[in-house]
Amino acid sequence: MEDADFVVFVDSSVLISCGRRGGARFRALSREARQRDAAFRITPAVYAEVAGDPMLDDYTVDDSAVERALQKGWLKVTESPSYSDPDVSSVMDRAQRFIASAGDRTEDVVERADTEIVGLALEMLQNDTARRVSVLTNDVPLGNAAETLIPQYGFDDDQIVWWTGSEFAPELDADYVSEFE
Amino acid sequence: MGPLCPSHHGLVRLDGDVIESPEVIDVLRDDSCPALPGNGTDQHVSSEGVYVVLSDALGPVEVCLNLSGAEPVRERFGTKGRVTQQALLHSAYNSQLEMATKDEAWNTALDAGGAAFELLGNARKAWIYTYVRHHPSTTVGDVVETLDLPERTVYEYVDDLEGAGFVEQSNEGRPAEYTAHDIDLHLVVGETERRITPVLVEAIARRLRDDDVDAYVDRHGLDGLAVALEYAREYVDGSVTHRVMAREQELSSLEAGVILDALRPVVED
Repeated sequence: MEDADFVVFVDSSVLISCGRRGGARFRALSREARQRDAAFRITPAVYAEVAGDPMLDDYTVDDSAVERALQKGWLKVTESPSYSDPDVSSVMDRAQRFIASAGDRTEDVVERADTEIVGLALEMLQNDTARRVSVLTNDVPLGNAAETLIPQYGFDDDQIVWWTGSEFAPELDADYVSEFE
Repeated sequence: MGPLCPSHHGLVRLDGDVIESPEVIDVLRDDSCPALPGNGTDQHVSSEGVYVVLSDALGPVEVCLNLSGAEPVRERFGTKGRVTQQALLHSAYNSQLEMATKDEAWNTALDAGGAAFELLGNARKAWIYTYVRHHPSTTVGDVVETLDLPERTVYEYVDDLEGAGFVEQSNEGRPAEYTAHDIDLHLVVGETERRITPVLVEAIARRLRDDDVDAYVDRHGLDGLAVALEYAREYVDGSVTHRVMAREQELSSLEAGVILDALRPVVED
């Protein structure tokens, strides 16, 4: 993996939100990416979720914005986490349990692919390919899992930070139906 | 033919009416059911005098459902498999119907129709109600400005809403100003309960402005929308991820992410 001081993992929950209804939110995401000195990354699982889904034809989500971002280079798809790494594997297992327990669910409704971001965040911090990592997700249990678990592997709280979309860019919080705001 | 299989006991009664629920088809095609031998395309008459007819694997399905111990329901199914509220209230089958949230299997409780539920089937009326709820003392003119509808139609819809007790005039002069009442209707279907609340009405109203909500209702029906609203509440509360909803409801994660993003403002109010 290439070195980057600051890596931002963008989750599909944010990319889907940004891709809906014309992509105005995606433009805001792109603007923030340009203005922040960070490397924006998506996991293979996230890429699979937002590109090539047959449901794209039924909904207004525009996956071409993700493809353009990849072509322009401000967004890149990472490799899968090193599952054989004991710490990476353990943090993903713990994230799986964390997310399941947040909703009082059984672990089988949370797959390992769902926790790739947490595993990769830890892996990049451990092998010094990143000094700081942010997780950009609207999924509260995933953000909480990253912020809660990764410091337990010896990293400072400010080395792993969770942002929601609206915390990242105000446009991401706008209600499309302004009449009901 | 022997008595109906206990596990399939008690569904619908029919008289050549049409229903298109894949779940119903699956049940009726269950070869293990002694009451329903064969491929399910034949007519069967149970000891209770109720019969089932399935027409074709891909086409409309005619079913006769047995209402065990209940007065036979004579309401007719609509051409798209919609059933009346009364039929649903009497049907022991609805515990299965309420799970039908996939694809076109949306002839379920909240899609039942009936006068009390017209608000749910008319997104424009739902819009007007929701707009009045968000903007007390709204006039018909205010509504006309937000909707691309003739003033006469808006007057008719407001009259309907007022007649149903969903809104009331809040002044004595002209133009009339309207304020919304809270709605809390309970639809009890077997062991299933659906609540019709302002939040659900607002979600339906958003079909007019948010194509993704409209597409979701087209695919999953109003029951599917009600289920999605429950997930949206959990999502906003921080209990679930969009992938958990996707897995539990057998959606793609993209579809779950879309509807949670679309409904989040509704439950955040």
